[in-house]
Amino acid sequence: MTDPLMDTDAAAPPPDPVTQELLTFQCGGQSYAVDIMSVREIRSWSEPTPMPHAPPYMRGMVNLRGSVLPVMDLAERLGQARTEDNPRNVIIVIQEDRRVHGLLVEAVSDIVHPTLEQLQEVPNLEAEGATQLAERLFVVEDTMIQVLSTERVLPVVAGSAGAGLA
Amino acid sequence: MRVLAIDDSRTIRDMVRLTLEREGIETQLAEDGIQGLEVLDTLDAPPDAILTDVNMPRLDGFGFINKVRERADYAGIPILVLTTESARELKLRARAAGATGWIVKPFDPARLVGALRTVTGLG
Amino acid sequence: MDPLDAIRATFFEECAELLETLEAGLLALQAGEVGPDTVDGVFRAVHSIKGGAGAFDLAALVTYAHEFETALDGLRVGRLAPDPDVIAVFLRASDALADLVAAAQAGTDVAAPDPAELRALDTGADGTDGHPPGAEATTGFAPVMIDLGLVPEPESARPPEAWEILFEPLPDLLASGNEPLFLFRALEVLGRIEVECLDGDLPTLTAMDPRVARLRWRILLTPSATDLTETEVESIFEFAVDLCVLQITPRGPLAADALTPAPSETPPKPAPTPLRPTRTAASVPTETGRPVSAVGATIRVDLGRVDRLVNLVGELVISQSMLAQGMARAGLDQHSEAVTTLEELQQLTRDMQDSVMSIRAQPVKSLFQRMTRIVREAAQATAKDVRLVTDGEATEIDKTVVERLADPLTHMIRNAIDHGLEEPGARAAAGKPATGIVRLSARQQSDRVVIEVSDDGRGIDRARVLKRATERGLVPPDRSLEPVEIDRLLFLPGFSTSAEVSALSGRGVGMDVVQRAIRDLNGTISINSVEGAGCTLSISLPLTLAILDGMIVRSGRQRMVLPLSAIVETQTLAAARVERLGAAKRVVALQGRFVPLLDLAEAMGFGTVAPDGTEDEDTALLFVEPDDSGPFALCVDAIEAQRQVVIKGLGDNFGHVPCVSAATILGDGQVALIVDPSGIAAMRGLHRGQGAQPKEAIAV
Repeated sequence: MTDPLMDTDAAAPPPDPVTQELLTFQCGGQSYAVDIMSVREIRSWSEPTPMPHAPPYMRGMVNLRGSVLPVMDLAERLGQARTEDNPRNVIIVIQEDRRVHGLLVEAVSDIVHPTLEQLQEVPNLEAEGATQLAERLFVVEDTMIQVLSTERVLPVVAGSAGAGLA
Repeated sequence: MRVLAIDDSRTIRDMVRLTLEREGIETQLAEDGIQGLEVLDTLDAPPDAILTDVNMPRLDGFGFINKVRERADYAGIPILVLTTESARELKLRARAAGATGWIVKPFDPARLVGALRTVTGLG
Repeated sequence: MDPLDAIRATFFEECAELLETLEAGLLALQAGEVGPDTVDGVFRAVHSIKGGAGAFDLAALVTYAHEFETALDGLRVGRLAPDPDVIAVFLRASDALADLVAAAQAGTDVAAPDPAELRALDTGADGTDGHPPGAEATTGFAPVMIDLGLVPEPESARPPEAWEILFEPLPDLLASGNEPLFLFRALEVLGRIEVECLDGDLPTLTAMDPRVARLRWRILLTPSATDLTETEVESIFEFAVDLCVLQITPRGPLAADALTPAPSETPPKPAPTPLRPTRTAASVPTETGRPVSAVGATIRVDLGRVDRLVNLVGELVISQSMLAQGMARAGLDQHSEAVTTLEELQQLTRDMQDSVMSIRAQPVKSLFQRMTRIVREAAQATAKDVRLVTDGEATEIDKTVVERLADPLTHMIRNAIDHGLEEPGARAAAGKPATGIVRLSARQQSDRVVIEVSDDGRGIDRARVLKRATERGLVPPDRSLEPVEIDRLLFLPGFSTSAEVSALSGRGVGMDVVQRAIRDLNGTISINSVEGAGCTLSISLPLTLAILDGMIVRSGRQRMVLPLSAIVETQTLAAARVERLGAAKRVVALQGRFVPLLDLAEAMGFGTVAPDGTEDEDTALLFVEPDDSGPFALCVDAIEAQRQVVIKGLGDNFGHVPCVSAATILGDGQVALIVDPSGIAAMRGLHRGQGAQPKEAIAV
C-alpha cells in the first residue's frame, strides 16, 4: 500500500467504447502497442541491477525515484533475441493492478487511436507453443502492430499474494 | 442533490461516495484539483456542492477553490473542505480561499450529509 | 478494498485497542488500583465495542457486549465491589469478548459465550441498557458510530418553545458560498420559521455590490421537536459563525417559566430554569482547534502516510549521501562552507530519521498485555500455578515488529509453561515456591531491542535433547556437543514433531518456526539454560524494519549489501587459511575449524565466476552464521563500505527471490540487493538437519 511506485488512484475514467488510445513502440524490429492507460511513464535507459534466480528476460531492477522497478527485456519476453544495449533504448513503465513493471524496448513511436473496426482478433496459431501475449492486431501504414496484454506480459509472481508489509 | 468530491486518496473518495450515495446523493469524483476542474467542465450543470481535500498533487484544495471562485458561473457553489486537521489556521486559509465550510476527517457520515444539506439548502 | 471493508478494518483496529484498554483496566482493578477512571475506562471500552459492532450487524458481539456492559454497570454504580472473584469473571468475559471480535473479524462462527456467569454477578441489575452520560463521547471513532437507540440524558432544563435568531451576514459571507436562503431552508427542517428582513441601512442601488451581503435578518424558529437545543440551532450556522453576527435567544415558555410558575402542563415541582445567556458570535470562532487537554494529546494517522514519510526520509538519506559523494569527487576543501553545511544537514537528516522512526514505534506494553491471557490459559491447561512478571513495558519498537512478535512470543511462553516449569509437586521437591514464574522483559540496547522470555523451571534436559536429535538423525551418533550446541538443537527444523505434541505448546509448531519468524524481522534468537534453575530465550531485534546496518561489498559485477548483524567475522583472503576439497569446493579456517567457502556472486546465482583469477589484495572473506546453519564464508572482491541502507521491499513486483531479502538504493542511485545468508545456506544445503551436512560446520 505504501509503495510510491503505486498509483493507488489508478484513474477510472470509463474506457471509451469507440476508440482506444495506444502507445506504439519498436521492439525486436517489430511494432507493438499497449493501452496508454496502463503506461505510467517512459524512462530513458539505465543499467539494471541483475536479479538472481530470475527468468533470462528479467533484466533486473532500476531505481525509479527511490523505488525499485523491475525491468524486463520485452523482446526476450516475446521469444526474440535479447535487446542490444543501446543508450537510446527506453523503459516503458506500466502498471497492471498493483504491479508496476518496466519494459525495455528500442524506441517509443507514437500514440494512436485505432477504431474498434481497425482492431483485429489475433489469429490462433496452434503451432505457437508460447502463450499469446498479444490480444489484438491492427495495421497502420502497412505496418502490423500487435497490441499486448499487459496482464499476460508480466511474469507470474510466486508467493506474493497477501505478502505482508515490509 | 449532486456533489463533486475531490480527494487524492481512493479510500476517502470511496468512503465519501458510499456515504453520499447511500443518502441518494449523486456523486462525482475527482482525484485532484486539476481533475476537479476538468470534471466541472464536463458536467451539464454545476453540482449543488463540492467537497474537496486540501493536500493533493498538482492543484491543492485551496488552489482549486480559488479557481472555482474566479469563475462567475461557479462562484456561488458551496464548497466544503475535507481536512484531517482542525487547526484554526487551516480554517482561516480555507476561508480566505473562499470555502464555505469544513469537515474533519475521519468524517461522521451523518455529519457530512447534514453539512451538505445545510449548505445547499437541499433537505 | 471495498469501502465498507475499509471501515470494517478500522473498526477491528479500534476493537483491538479497546480490548487492550479493557484488559489493562481489569488488571489494574485486580491489582487494587481502584478508581472511577479505571472502571469508566473498562465500561466505555465494552460500550464502544458494542456500538461499533452494531454498525456491522455483529449480533453475537452486540449481545455479549451488552451482557458484559450490564454487569460492568454494577461495578460502575457501586452495586458490585471489584473483589478478585468479580474481576476474574470480568477477565474471562474479556477473553470471550476478544474471541468474539476475532471470530467476527475472521468471519467465522464461534459458540456464543454463556452470559450466566456475568448475570449471576450483578443480580441487582435491572437488565436495561445502562449507559453512562460519558459513554456516547467515548472515542473519536466517528465512521462507525451509530445510533443504537440510546436516548441522551434529558436536559436538566426544559427547552424553550421558540428561538429568536438575529443573523447579520458580514460582507464576505456570500463569497464563501454560504447562502442565507439555504441556511433558512436548513432551519426550516428544524421547525417553522418566520423570517423578517431588516433592511434599514441598505445602500442605494447604484452603490450596491451584489457580491456583498447587506441585509440583516430576524428569524423566529418554532421547533417541531420539543427538545431542540441551542447547539443544534447554532450548528446550522456552523460554517457561517465567523462571517456573521449571530444572536440566538430562547423565547416562549422558558422565559415565562423562569419568571412565573408554570400554569398548565408543567410538572408540580418545576426545576428553576435559568435564563440562558444570549450568545453572540461575531468573527470569533467558537473552536480554538486545540485539544482541550494538552496531556497526552494524540492524533490518529493512517499508517500508509507514516510509511510514505519513512520512505521519503529514506530518499533524503540517499540523496544526501549522493550529494556527499559528489562533493567529495569535486574535491572541495574540508573547511569550505559547503562541506560544513553538508555536515549540519547530515545531522539534521539523522535527527529527522530518528523522529520519523519514532512515529512508527510503539511500546511493547500492548503485546505484553496480550501475553497475560496466554499465561492464564496455559496455566489452566497444565494445572500449574504460574505468575507472569513483566518488565520494560515502555520499551518501544516498530509497530510491525510488535504485531509480528505476538505469535512467536505466544509460543515461547506456552513452551516455558508447558516444558520449562515443573509440576507443583516437583517444584516443592526442588525446594522452589509452588508458583512458577515466567518473566517477560524488554529493553533497548543501543540500536536494538532485546526481548527475553525466562522461566524458573527445570532448564533444558540436555541428555534428552541430544538423544532425540540423534534419533532423528540431526546429529551423528558419535558426536560430542558442547552444552550450548545441544541447546541450539532445539531450533532445528524437524526437532519437534507433531507426533508428540502436548496438548498445549504442541500444535505442530517447533522452535524453528519461532526462529524463522524472528529472522524475518531481521532479528536473532538465542537460548541460555541453567539446569534446575530455568531457561531464558533472548530475542534481539532492530528498532525499525526500514533501515538496515549493512556492509556494501562487490562480487562479480555486482554490488550487494550484507546485513551487518549476519557477519561474525571478516578476513582478507591473503590472511585466511584456505584449503581445497576436491576440484571445486573450498573450505577456510574460522577459529580453528574449517567452514565452507563460497563465492558470493556465484552463491547468489549469478553464474560461475572464474576462480582465483579475479582475486587480489582487496578480496575479502565474510563469515556468516545464520541461526539455522553452521558458519560459512562468503568470498567478495572487495568490501566497499559499511553504512545504513534504506530497505526497499520487493513485494508485489517480485515475489520471493531466493537468497535475497530485499533491495536498497546506493549513494550513486544504483539498486543493490540485500543478501539473505540463510537463503544461501538453504540453497547450498548447509542448513542443519539437511542430511549429514551439518558436520561440515562442526568438523575440525
